[in-house]
Amino acid sequence: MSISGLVLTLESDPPLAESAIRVLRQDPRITLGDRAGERLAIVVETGSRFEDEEVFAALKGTPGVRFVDVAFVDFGSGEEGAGDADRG
Amino acid sequence: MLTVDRRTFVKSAAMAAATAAAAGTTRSFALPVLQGSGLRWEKAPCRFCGTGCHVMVATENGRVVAIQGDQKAEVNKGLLCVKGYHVGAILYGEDRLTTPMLRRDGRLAPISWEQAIEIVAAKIAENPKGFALYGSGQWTIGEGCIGNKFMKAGLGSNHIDGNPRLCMSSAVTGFLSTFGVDEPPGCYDDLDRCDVAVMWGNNMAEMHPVLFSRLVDRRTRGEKVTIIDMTTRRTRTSEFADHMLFFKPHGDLAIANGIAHLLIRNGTFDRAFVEKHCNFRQLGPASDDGSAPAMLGVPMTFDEYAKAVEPYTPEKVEELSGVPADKIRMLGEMFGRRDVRINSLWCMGMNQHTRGTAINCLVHGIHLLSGHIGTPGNAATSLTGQPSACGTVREVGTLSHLLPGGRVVTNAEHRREAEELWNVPEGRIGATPGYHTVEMFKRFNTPTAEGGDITTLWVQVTNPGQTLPNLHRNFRMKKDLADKFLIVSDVYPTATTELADLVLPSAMWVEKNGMYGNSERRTQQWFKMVEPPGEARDDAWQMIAVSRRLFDMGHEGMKGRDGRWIFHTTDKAGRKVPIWEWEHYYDVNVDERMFEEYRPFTRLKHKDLAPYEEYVKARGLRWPVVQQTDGSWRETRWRFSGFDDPYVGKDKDFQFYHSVTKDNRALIWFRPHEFPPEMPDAEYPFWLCTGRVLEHWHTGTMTRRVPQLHRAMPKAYVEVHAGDAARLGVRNGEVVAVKSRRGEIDLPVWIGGRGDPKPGEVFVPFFDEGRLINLVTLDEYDPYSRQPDYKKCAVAIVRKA
Repeated sequence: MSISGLVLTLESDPPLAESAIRVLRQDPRITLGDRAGERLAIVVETGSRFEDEEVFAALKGTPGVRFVDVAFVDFGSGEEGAGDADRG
Repeated sequence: MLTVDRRTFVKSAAMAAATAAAAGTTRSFALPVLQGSGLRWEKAPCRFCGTGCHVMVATENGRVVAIQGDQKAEVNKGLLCVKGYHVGAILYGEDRLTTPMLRRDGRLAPISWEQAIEIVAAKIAENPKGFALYGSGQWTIGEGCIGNKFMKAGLGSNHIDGNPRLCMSSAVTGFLSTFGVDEPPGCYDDLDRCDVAVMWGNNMAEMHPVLFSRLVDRRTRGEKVTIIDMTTRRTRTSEFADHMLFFKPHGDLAIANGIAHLLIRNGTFDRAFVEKHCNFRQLGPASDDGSAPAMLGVPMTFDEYAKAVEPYTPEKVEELSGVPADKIRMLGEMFGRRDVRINSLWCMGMNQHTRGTAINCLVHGIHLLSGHIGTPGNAATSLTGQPSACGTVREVGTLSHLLPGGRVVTNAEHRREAEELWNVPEGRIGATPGYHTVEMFKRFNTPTAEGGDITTLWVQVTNPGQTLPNLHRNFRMKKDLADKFLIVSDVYPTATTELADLVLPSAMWVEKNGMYGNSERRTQQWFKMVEPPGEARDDAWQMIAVSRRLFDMGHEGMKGRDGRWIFHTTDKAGRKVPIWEWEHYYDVNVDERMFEEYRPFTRLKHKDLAPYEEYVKARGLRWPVVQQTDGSWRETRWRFSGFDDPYVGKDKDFQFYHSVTKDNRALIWFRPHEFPPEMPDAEYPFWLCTGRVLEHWHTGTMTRRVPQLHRAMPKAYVEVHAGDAARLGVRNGEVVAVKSRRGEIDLPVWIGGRGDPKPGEVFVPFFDEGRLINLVTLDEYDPYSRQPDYKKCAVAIVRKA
């Protein structure tokens, strides 16, 4: 289980921003929060940190999303850091 | 599995943090509190770069379990980059070092701490002059204080240097040459006020992403911020730039002189500012022995300066730099305007440069010449790569020529002051600078009989086995030298521990108390939150234990003026605390004690720090921090500026009060364009530039152990321009050999990737210890800062059969 709080900066073009929000609404792992101008608070809840990272990457590639910033991450639910990280 | 309560709590915390960050306000933000959740939240600066973001760290049952951007932190305003996001996970890699290990018959075998401390002390006692300590910009301020005192006031040896020598010492010599005192006059607030940000070889979007977000975020609020990216390769920063100007290696020297030429030719320099606040300077003649001219140079007149920059016409600069003449005119005209505020920003691109001092001076010079300095938004800002390169190394003075507080070992009065404050006998501190980093490692890697007079080297909190240039010469030769002894204190196995004779397991980040100093003169503090794993112990304790062992062995240097141990510590009741015994180390706050011993040094050169408890309350304070009449402590955002700096004289608009020329004036330097010492030729036809990537911090020892970051950027590569790749007949992903006169490694080719070099240039990141690009790099360095140039050498790209 992985939970993170993110801030999305949306494109200033309103139709583009709205299309991004429509895409986000369709993803059950994403909870939309308050919007302040072009910035939108969201929470991402996934089954693993790997999946969380996939969502993060997908958000960065979503049309209408300019930046993804991180405000919070929880990693206290069992999945630990890697060991010897492919040091060869 | 999360319990429902905890899951609800965490989601609520995540949304609250994101909402507050999105709104850009801290007023309505409060962490939700779940009764009985067991989570404890405390502040700490991020462990990675020199930005100095603050995080809030949640612990539960002795483990770090959550991280959020700190809403109260001015630096990051609640946001983090992808590395900061995962900073808590760096504690929990499965291969943490947990016990001291001694190499026997070629293999590292566990030993006790008592044995380890005894071995280190015996090695030092055997040959104190042949002992060197190599520290770090990741050392906490307390650790730096202990290391510096142990070496300079204890052993009477100046053979202590730190890895910031490799990343920012040219910024130091640039500030010293220009202002007579180190570190930026401005601060991050300039990012919020500038109209134009000029990147001098600086990929800020990846290297200091939170600061870059702070800059580009202004655009989303409708503000106009022009970004000019002067670069040798297209990067993520380029994607946000209004102007991307490709320049040839060392072309920055010509560009800066070209801007000065236009300011004078067009009559748009700030005559009033220059006449009132500046002098002109150039290097004197070279010494008879062929060594470089003195760093502080000789005076020149304005007319002589104007004549010196006269040849740097836009056309000539185009020829030298590759930047079109019309773009040079654009830069010259922009600096000539009074109605725009300009912030120049740089990091390794300007510092890792065999003319690093020169280019630092030239960039300060055009800001002084044009008056774009000292008012909000007008600044020349060097950024640092490590969390305490400024706090621990530049300010505490853990380089081989420095003393704390900006003093130097070559000055008798400075040595006397330090001996007084450290309470050691007069004459204890040596007058000759110790070996700088490259020299230290060269001597360690040279047979003792052939002049290799460093025989025992202790490395803490850094990984020179990966970061030194020309690793074959400067690190790996040690392997065959039986009388050399390498001690390494670290948290994970590294390229350096591979050759270590003794490995000491260390505590890291929130496993210990600490203080850092970031790029904008901000000193930050945190408390220990969790225990280190196994037998890992604080780096500071390790040095203290060795010092005490030497004291017990009768080493005179470990005694102060009163005959007591130099780290003699008492509790509030005046009772001696045996801090050399691990079980008693946290009976007092050693970090606080060392900081308070250091603090008087900071007042010697107007770098005043507040009492420790002020930093406990704050998210850092920018020095000089000066007490007000009401007893409060006030930080300084713009040094030398009358409206903000308390040390500027009454009714003065500016005062460069540490002026080299002792007349409150800054120096505008002329330094000519010069070509790099090694350039491409028929045998090695490509320029090699090395650097960092967003996901990994420096040598990747921490970030490569975070699965998400490792997966995102698993291994190093060589960026090749598509045209060069076609000519060489190599395809994306194909493995090629990158060869220089010093070594070679195999790397997959990346064409049109995240970065894209110009034709004739290649780029390789240095985070991957399995593919060490520093086997290839050149170890030539700037003659003043002694900082090597990792950005330019000649290589060949060879297809593998």
